[in-house]
Amino acid sequence: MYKIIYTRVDGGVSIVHAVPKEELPLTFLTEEAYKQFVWERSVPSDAINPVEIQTDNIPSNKEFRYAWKQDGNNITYDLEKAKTIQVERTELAINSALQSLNAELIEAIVSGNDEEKESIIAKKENLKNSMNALIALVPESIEQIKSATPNLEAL
Amino acid sequence: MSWFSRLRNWQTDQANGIGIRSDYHDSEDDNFATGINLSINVAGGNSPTANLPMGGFKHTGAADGSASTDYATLRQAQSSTNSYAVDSSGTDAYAITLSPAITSYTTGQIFRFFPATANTGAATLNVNAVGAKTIKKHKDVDLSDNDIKIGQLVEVIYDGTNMQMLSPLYGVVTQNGAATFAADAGASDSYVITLSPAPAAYVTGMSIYVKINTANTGAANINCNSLGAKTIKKRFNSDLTTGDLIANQIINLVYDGTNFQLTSVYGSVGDNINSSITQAAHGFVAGDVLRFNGTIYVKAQANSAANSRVVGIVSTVIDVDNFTLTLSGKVTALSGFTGGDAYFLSAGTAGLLTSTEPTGASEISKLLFIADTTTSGYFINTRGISPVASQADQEAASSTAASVTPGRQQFHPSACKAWVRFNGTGAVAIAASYNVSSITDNGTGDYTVNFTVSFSSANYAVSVNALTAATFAAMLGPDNFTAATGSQRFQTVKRSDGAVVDTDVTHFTAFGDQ
Repeated sequence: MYKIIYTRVDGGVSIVHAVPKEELPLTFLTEEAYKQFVWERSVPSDAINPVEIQTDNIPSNKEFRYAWKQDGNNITYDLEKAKTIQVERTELAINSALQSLNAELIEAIVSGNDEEKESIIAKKENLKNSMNALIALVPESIEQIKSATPNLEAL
Repeated sequence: MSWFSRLRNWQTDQANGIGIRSDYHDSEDDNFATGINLSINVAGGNSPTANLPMGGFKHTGAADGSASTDYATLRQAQSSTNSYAVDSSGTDAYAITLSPAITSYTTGQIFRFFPATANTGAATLNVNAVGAKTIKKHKDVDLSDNDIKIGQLVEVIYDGTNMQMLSPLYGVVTQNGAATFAADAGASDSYVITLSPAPAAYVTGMSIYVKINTANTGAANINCNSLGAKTIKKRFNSDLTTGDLIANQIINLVYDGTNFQLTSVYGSVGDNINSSITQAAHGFVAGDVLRFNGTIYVKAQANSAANSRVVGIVSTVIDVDNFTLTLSGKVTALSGFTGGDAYFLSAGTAGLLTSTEPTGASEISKLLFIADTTTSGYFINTRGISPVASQADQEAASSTAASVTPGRQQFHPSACKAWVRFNGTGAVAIAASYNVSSITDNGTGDYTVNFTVSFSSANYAVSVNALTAATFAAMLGPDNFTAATGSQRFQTVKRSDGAVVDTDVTHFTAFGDQ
């Protein structure tokens, strides 16, 4: 399948996935003419560095989609952006967990269960500090970012 | 009655004491002589003096008769040797020798002979050198060449003057048809023929064949052997019209007691099918295309289905009241055409052929004429069809007469102009689409559909639905993305929390004007 990669003016990467020539009323076109036909309709005039890209060069995992960076006809990662995505994602999860713990804390306080209260406070503290490694990380790879990401379920 | 009886009875005389007397003996002997003399002599020395009754008995072992006054044996009668012989003379002067020979001709005599040669014209027969008599046919007509053919058994009967043919003439009439066929020697519309033998009178049912010398220009008549001119009618009682009879055509006429009816094909049917029309003050000219309105012929026009029911084209104007309508085939003596071009019934001008095919609403496209020269061509009455709807017709969406073709149906406002179904997770996979050239993956749950054929403006309607295997997601609308004529960007989001997510199945449709 014919694919095109280009960088948008907002810095994002767009991948054009063309409808196969045999599925368009264009079977009379040469392969070159078909690609030209798709290019004219799919690549905006302000696209930066549009080139054809092979399917194998497109990551199948889109976990860090917004960290994709065009490198010619390849895709690499903007690791700082990937880290930011992971931090924001983790913060959302931590905030959600903290909200749940807050509710439990109030119950413990109301019930006078000091032991439970202390436990919950400790958990909250752990959650708040869990991202320190990730935040401090100078990422060199996506795997590093994942490794630095806290396992919230274990906390 | 007996011719002999005894005068005396000798025993009776003795009983009566009468002695033998010389006078009685002489009388008795004289009586014997008389009886003997009254008998037929076996040596043929005497002849009967009265009819001889046979008492139911026959003469047997008789010899063949050899003279005209002799009896003929039954064998002679069966072999007809008294009336048949092989001709021994030359052509046209036949001679036979019968046995027994005749010494004179008697009316009613029948003679048969095998001619040694065929005749070449008038011929005679001489029987037993009695004298040559002319052989006639049809009572008093001299023979024609080959009326008698060698090997043919000829039978004639003497009529007191000539020998009349009793046997059929050998194929003369059927070979050259002179009795029923002749070439016209008259002028156009007044045909004259001479048949041989000449008919004595017109007889109902009389069938003749005529080779026309000059084409007719209208009503026509024929005069056979100066018996009088009789009108030639077609279709029982219709006068001929121009072109019904053409030069060198052989036609068949049958006399109906009043006129000769034309039974053979008339008119120049080889190139076309015509109909002769009589319509008072028709006002048409050659080339007018006509329809029949139920009462009269009028000019046809491709501005409605009813007006375009073409019958034919005027090929000849005979006079103000008559014209020839060609229903199909070659038409000549026209003008204004281009060889090789196709012509349609005009929607704008009644009766006219035009090279511009009618395409307007309610107009009928009816191909009628293929020109082969500037003045002629082929008239073909095809079925009219409603014009094909154009893009404008489809977009107007008001015509109830135009036909929609697959290539233009999408221009109707009700038609979806673009749709696509794709999987946005992982590598985008397009399952099926129409008028979509590509899907652009701009990020998680962020896509652009690029159209093959753009909309005419950004005012078109879009509908997107999406779902994931994990969580139902729905497209809530283009998220601040301005529609472009050639593409539409949108996001798929989770209904529950608004998170922008990739979806397993995304449906996109767009309606509007292209």
